[in-house]
Amino acid sequence: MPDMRRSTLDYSSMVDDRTADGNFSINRSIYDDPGIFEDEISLIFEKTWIYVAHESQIPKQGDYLWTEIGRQPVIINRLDNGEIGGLINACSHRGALLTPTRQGNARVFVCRYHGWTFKSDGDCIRIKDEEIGYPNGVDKSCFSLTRLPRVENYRGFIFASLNAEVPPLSEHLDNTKPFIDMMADQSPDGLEVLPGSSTYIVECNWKLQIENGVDGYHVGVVHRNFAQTVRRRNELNNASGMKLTENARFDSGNVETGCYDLGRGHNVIWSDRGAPEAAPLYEARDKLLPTVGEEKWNWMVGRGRNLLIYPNVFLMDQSSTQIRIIRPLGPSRTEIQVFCIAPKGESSEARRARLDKFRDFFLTSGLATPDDSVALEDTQTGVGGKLAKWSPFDRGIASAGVGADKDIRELKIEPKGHNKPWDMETIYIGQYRRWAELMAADK
Amino acid sequence: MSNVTNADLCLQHEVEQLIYREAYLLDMRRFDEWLNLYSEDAEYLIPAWINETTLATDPTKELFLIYFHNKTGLDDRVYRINTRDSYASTPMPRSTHVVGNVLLIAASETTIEASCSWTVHQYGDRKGARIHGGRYDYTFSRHENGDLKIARKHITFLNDRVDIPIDIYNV
Repeated sequence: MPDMRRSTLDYSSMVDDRTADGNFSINRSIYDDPGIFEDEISLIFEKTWIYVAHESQIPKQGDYLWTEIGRQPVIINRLDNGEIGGLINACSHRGALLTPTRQGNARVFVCRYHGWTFKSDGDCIRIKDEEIGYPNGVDKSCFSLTRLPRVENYRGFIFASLNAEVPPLSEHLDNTKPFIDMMADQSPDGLEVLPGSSTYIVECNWKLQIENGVDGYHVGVVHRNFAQTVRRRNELNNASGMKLTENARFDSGNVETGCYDLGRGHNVIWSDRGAPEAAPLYEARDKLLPTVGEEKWNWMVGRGRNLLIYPNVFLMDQSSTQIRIIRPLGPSRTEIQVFCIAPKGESSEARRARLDKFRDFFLTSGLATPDDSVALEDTQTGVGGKLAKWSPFDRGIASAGVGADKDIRELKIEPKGHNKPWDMETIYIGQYRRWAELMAADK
Repeated sequence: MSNVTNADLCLQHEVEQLIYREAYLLDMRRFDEWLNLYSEDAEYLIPAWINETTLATDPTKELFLIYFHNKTGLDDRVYRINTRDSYASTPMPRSTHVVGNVLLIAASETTIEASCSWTVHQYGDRKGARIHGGRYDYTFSRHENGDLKIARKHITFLNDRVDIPIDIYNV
């Protein structure tokens, strides 16, 4: 196979992996080198499993959603047989997009350029004026839309891959599954993505976004003003129950926190909630506790969690519940799309509180995310100072443990490593080893 | 035009002056005076887009970029900015609001509705110059002392993909 890599850089030299000596550093070129970025698109985003949608967004036959995998436009849709399909969003004729809108319902796709028509599974069923153009006949099966090689669903979360050779989704998700289950099990009726989404662009490399979502270390600094603002608000309003904005995690040492390298680049960080009764899910205690058991309930409601499923999605269960999708647009430009996901059937009070808390923290118009975005943009600018070459990720190497600790052992999984508190940077070692592994591929 | 009364012109003028004053106070960063333009129970809403043509309508069931059911939400924002500890707001970008096409929609003794277009030009050292725009739909209430206050401000933000943090000073 020819070497598809465009960059002439040797990627193994970008990750200085000497944890035995207490060192793990990243060459800052990986944040802004255009050649590296091109290779990340082809070797990571077009080679692994990529989160694309939640099943509640396409409940009915014909429902579709147009999104991207890497830079390729794709359709994720509900087929006539009820299964979920995936297609490259391009007419087999001349390549025009087949969807007029980002979301919709179409039992057939009619190309708006020359009128060719396709079934929702991609079969070509009409070529306009076929008999004039092809008087000797034509085999329409040659003109099927290009189907995505792999589309799989875990507990309602849909992933797809442009690479037929990826391992089964279940194997890829691996140790993240109990944490996905902690979301999926929040209602016996399942979860739903609430109407409306927010998309924002941050002028930073996608990996800075991936780091930030599991960065416990910045919380007490960047979000100090959030904590201060909501503490004042809680006091002014004499807030209690779901109306309370829980803020224990913002003060280092206030509550117990921790982090896990789950393997395959996946990470999770967690923090005990100072006031579990502020969580919108708390109302479901009597209903859920008997089915999930005390240990899992403590994980679900007693702890806030940020789960990174490498390389492109976070499932956040903090004050509110969020799906955060990361899409690289360029070396220094990343799109983030966020959705509020909620248990079906929750009370109107809980739903309202969930949305209130979501707007508070998780939006680019909120009290916290803008501060992350600008901090990451400053980091992007700073790493352009190439005379300063390396970013260390060795905070916490001395306290890092291999495998499970007592907290995660309850979930019956074996992570790569654990550490406490959540501001230890050893989880990034997992991210960047995965990065180096994927980038070392020759095809 | 012969049907236009002096009272109509006075009301149009009063409404416009209030809208322009709000824009001015935001641009001048005189947030405490800006808060005074709002009644205590004022609603402030920026809905998210549900799809290409539809805005969210119910903040208790759908996503809104900002929703405050009374003035305390605005007060939180001003407090946060004044901490001088918000990375995104320190330093704050410069901005100028341009508001036009002020149309009176309905008017009674106590309540007036108006709709207008807005753009905000913003400049900051980091992001450079950015322009965003949309529509304001206002409801004003006439208080007992004769003052006109903002009772509801519904902001349509045209973009559903935003390249800057959004806060009360740049919408």
